[in-house]
Amino acid sequence: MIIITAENLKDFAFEDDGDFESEELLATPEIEAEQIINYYEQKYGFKKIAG
Amino acid sequence: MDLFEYVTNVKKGKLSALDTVKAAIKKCKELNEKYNCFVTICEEEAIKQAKLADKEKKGLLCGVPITVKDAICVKDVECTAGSKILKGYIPPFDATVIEKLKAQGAVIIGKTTQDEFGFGSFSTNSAYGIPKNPYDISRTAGGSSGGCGSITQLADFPHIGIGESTGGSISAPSFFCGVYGLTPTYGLVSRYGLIDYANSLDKIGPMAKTVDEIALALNIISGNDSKDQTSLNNTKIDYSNYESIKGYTIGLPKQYFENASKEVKEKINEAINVLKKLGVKFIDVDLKLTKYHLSAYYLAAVSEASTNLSKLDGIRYGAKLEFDKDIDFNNYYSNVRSKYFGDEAKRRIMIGTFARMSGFRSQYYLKAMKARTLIINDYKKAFEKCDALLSPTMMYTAPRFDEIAKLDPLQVYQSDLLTVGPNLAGIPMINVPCGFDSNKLPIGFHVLGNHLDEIKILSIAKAYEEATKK
Repeated sequence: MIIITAENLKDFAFEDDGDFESEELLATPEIEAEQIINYYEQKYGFKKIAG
Repeated sequence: MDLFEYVTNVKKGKLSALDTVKAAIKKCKELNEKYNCFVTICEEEAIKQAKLADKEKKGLLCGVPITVKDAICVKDVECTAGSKILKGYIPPFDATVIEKLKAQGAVIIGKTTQDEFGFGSFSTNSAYGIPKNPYDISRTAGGSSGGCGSITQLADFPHIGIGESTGGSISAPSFFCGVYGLTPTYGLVSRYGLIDYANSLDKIGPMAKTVDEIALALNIISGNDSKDQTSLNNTKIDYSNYESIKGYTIGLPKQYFENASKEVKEKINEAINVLKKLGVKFIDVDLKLTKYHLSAYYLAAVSEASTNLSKLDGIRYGAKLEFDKDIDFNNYYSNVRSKYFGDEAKRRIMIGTFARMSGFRSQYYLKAMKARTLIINDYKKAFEKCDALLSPTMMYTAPRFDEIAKLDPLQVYQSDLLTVGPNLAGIPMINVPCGFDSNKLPIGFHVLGNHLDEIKILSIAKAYEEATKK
């Protein structure tokens, strides 16, 4: 039987050197955002998607 | 026989695709006894396609036997993604890559063994037996496209393998089996018809014995697809139109050499010397965020996997159990998933679920997303100074199964150290075979390119292949 608890997450903890302060880091990478916009423009004629 | 010569002869009517495919299937059945490369060998479908190839005599892959990782849907052929929960699933459609291959006359002869849903580095997490290394059956063929790597090396007939990578599942088996394996830029090849592991990371790519075959396959399977909204809409180029690499600058990320074995490092250094003689300049590159690669990759991948697999509940999709009037939905769902998912799938679903839970989300999942952006920027910065990066593909040659059995899950994840970074960044990479260790096991180097710079990494691979041809 596998027993996994939230404790296992600690195996993936980041050694945080203060690299993660900026919320802008959560922005969608440009290459993907551009494609999503293109897709909606092609399919539905939207000029841009909200947000 | 050379694949290109074979195609020409089939088109001229000098060779029969049907005879070649029948012989290839016979060979695959024999090899499968020893190497377990296949979950399914689709003889009936293959013979129909071969007859069509002989009749129509058209396409860049006219009559060429192709093997496909089991996570990619082929119409009317069972597709399990290496999992018992999908046993018996027969897709009524072709994945876009399969449609494109068939349109060029290719003949799909089988679905290759893999880790369940791609969850593994050594293909030891397959529900349908473990594929074996072509050089030593006591060793791994790599994961998760292990069956694809193994048959690509073993095939003595014209052949291209189609694999899929989330965190290194094309590069690792290509390295362990001594073949070329290209993971394209994320979005260059349509994912429509691929059973997802992690949507933002999955890439379909070719595995083959020569660079020309890789370029040919990429020419065919790449391109925009309206059925995949992450598919790129870039200008189509000819990937076999190689550039001269004289004057190229290649970066050597120092962090990528630190943990590689002595023998692997020696062979890579020999390859570097060959490329230097071809006019390539090498510089040292500092990818200081390598320390985040494993955590960011595994958190992103298992978080996406845990949501992707939630649809496999025995009601909407996947294997079913008898309904019992005394069992409520939650228990039914748990019973189905407990019975049909393998241990590693359960582990990743649970870790992914924890990582996304309120209370842990900002500490783990969101931090992984931030780390991913930083990692992409780290590579982008490196590519301002060089045309490509070069490193070992894996840190050591194919381990034995008894050695793998002693590793805990975390140690297995660590074996992906050199492949998860470029996969997270969505940049293209190719494994280039460059020799053998003292146990006669293959070694390869990894060439990484900037987004959509496939032509550069293929040009480097081709120049090396030509310079070392015996």
